[in-house]
Amino acid sequence: MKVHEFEKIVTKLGMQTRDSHDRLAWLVHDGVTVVRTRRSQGNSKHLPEHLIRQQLKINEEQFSGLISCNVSKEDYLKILTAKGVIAKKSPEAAS
Amino acid sequence: MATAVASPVVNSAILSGSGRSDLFQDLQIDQPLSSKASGMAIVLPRQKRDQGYPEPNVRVEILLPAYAPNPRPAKVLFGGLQDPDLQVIRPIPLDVCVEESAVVVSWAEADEFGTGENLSCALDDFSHAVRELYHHLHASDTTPGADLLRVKQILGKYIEPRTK
Repeated sequence: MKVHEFEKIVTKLGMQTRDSHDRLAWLVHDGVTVVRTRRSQGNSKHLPEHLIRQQLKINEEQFSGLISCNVSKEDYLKILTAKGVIAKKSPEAAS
Repeated sequence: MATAVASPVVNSAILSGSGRSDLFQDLQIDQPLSSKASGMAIVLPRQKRDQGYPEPNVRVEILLPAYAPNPRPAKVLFGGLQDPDLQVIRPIPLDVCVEESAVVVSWAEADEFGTGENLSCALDDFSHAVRELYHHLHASDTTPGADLLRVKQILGKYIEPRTK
């Protein structure tokens, strides 16, 4: 996985970022921190794709779609909701 | 007067391919190591024209890579969190692998990892990642979701604030 692909995901999902020892990224949805990921900023430029994918709670196909244009942020939120990572809104709260 | 430095006379070596790790354990030298005892310099025996090769008196063993001890284990128990406010109360089990010439350590239970040029750098990176994660999840302005609550609970089983 390339750095620009990581940054593309971060930008697409509108993740909050902070540059520390690493570049940290958090997805906050409705005030709740849903998932987090990170990439190293050290000498090692290697980004372990499968571990970042696991942190984002998606499979390989969804991850590839996230890097390309097949999976949007709305699609991603639906995936996380279906997996229970994002709590489903109750009908009362929705209304 | 010059002093000769004595060294063992090696006629030739027997090559052994057993692959055992005790490489120099059975090194046997028949000749005296020093001439100090006799006070005379070692003089190589004169060879005769039809003498042939002398009998080997040194055994050499080759250590095959498959039998060599692995300097990079497949699993590591981590306890070296570099944070003055936190301490590890249980060793964190890490898987170690190499990907594209980079060492990657991963903690599957908490979905956390570290990378580096070598194992030491990867563990250092992991240490930074875990302490950042711990502090973020315990920050007052953070509301973790269901999965990150699970991660927070897991972190709590291994790490706790240091008591002063």
